Amino acid sequence: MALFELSEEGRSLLTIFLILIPTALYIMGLMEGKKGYWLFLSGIFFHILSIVLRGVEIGRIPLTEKHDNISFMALVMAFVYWYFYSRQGLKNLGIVALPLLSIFMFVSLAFKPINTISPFLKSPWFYLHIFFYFIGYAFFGISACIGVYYLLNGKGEYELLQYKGIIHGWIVFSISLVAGSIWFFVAYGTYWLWTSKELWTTLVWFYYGLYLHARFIRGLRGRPAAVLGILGFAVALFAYFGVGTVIPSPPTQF
Amino acid sequence: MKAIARFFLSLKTAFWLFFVFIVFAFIGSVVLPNNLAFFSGIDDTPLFRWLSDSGNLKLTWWIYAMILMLALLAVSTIFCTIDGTIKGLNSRNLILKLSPQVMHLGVLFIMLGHLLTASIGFKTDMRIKEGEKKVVAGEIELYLEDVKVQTDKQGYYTDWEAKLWWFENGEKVKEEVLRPVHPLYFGQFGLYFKSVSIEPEPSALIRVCRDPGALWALIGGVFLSIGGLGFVYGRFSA
Repeated sequence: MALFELSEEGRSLLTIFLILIPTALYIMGLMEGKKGYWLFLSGIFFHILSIVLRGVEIGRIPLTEKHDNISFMALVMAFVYWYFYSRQGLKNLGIVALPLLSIFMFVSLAFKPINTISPFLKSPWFYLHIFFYFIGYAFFGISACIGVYYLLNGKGEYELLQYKGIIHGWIVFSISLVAGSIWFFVAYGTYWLWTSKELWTTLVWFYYGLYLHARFIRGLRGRPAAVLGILGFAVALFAYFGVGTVIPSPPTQF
Repeated sequence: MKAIARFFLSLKTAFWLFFVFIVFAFIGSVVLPNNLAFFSGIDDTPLFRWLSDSGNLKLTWWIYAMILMLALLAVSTIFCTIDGTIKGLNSRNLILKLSPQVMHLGVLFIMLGHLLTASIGFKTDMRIKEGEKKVVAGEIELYLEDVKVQTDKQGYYTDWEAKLWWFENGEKVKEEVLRPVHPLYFGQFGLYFKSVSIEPEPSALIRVCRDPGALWALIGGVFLSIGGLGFVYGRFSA
């Protein structure tokens, strides 16, 4: 369904506009005090609005390709940041988190929105997979920010919060992989494929599994664990952006 | 025996097993796309059969190494789960203490599922033309008719379906519509609509699978999810 009777250029401009408004508000959220707080919340509002409008335009939940996925991940990052800001008292976390999620907003613009959908993606299991996958990524992202914040000021409680963020992200990520396996089995009759993409997704899961075990080993708590947690997000980002570009992952027969 | 138990109960052991597994998975992710022709059939055959048929250790050693690491991780997980369950039963917050063990159990079931899929699964692809009858795996007799496709403005296929007749001893038993992401299950076999062609004549590429590991992997996935949610609940209620 076409939301507005717009030309191709007009629609591209609208897409950019709908991403830039919340991005600008997120950046302005760095301002101190209540003004910054309300600007950040306005950013969330306009971000939700942009995702809803995109969904109305394409007539389905906008989660099937990179432009929409990255924007959705940035929105969940905003919510996770909000939680740590308001409930855990990490008032200065925005210095690290808000620029990062603004970068993701810009990155989403680098991918052209696609309005068509393969019949193989028309499954609730696929949507559940993507939905939880990027919630997991959002937790990993904000946890990496908390890790950086901890390295900058050294307060032990922040390292604990990073761990809590990662374990929640890892659980959600695990659920997303279960949903993804069910979707793939229903679509293609297999729940595993030997491709670089699958190997790297497994690698992300095992990497965070390694982190969660490492944190309980004496000598690895504190700074080493924080660094491992931060690196985890780099691994996760590489799995999403790097595989297919840096490491080739050509489409299989599927 | 105690030394073995201590070794597998150690978090350091788990850490290094994870680490080495990650290294092998990384190597695989580089080797695999650079030898596509060699690995082209790996997803069409149960893994262990493909490995023994391929006979090229230079290109497949990392798969054996990953399997070995997974086997060691499974042993470590079994030891840790038994130990964690015994300790957790005396705990006040039972959900918080036992949910990681439920997750461990889930991982073990998933590994069992992969093991069964890799060893005794069955997969084959067959193309059936409209109006044609084919026998697959010596057991299934299928007849295809009424292939339909939907296209968008550019002419790309957006959806498709076909009618499948199922025969046993020459008698029609069932008639069902097969569509993408809507597989049909007949006995032990699953039928999946992989792709469709209209030119030069309507035909369907259908994957036929028998995967005894899938149910175990699913049970594992359910355990993993329940354990994870239990852990989150346990933390918040603590």
